[in-house]
Amino acid sequence: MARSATRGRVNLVRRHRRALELTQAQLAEAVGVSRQTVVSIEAGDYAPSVYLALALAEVLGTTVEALFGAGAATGDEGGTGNA
Amino acid sequence: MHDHLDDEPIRRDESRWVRMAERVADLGHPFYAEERQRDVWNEASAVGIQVTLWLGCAAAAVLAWLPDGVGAPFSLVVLGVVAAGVLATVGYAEALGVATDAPRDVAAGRALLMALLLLATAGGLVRWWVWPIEGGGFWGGFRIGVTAALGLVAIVVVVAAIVHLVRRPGRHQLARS
Repeated sequence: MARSATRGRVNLVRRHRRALELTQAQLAEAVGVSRQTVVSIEAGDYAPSVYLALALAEVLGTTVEALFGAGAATGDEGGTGNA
Repeated sequence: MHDHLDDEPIRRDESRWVRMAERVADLGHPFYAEERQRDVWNEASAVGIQVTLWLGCAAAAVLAWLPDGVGAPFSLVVLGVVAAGVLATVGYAEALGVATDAPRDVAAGRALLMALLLLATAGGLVRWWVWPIEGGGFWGGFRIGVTAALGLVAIVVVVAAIVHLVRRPGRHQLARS
């Protein structure tokens, strides 16, 4: 995914991570990526693959829709199974 | 019954060429396992090949016009190296089913600049190998004058190409405007 095409998209990864009191490094290790990748995802600078999105949702105890769905842009939880 | 649902087969070439290219690029390295690293490296590689392409062609154009044709062989070598890199890039992408014919809206300006650069290079090479300056007199002076003018045009084209590349806005900036 081109970096420039994803810049500025809002998601709720940071909110869910903080709710679980996880550091970015811990979340990164849990899903098997670098901390910088988590930083970029939270900043909306990088759109993860569907596999990484699923892994993030699983670790954060929520759904991909809740993290990255349309509701994420407005801060709504959306989806099902939210933490 | 459901002919219209037939999927188009994925065009993926697992030929010896692709395997060799993957080995040359060391694509099995753990670095590529991390998806963001892989994506960013893909973009960085695109930057690298564009810089190599444009600087290589500009250098070839300048070398082709050095006095007495001393740069002509080097110009050909530079062109050959650049061409090999571009062909390997395009060949790999095509082998894995990615069409590399550039979109028309992107290609026009770049294609024109590249054509001018290659024309300047070709002009220089032809000038030294096919039309050497011999003797003096009116025609000798005329040829020197024409050659100097063509060389000046080549230099202007190279400078204009560099200025264009430096000044033009990024694609994301264009999308926002």
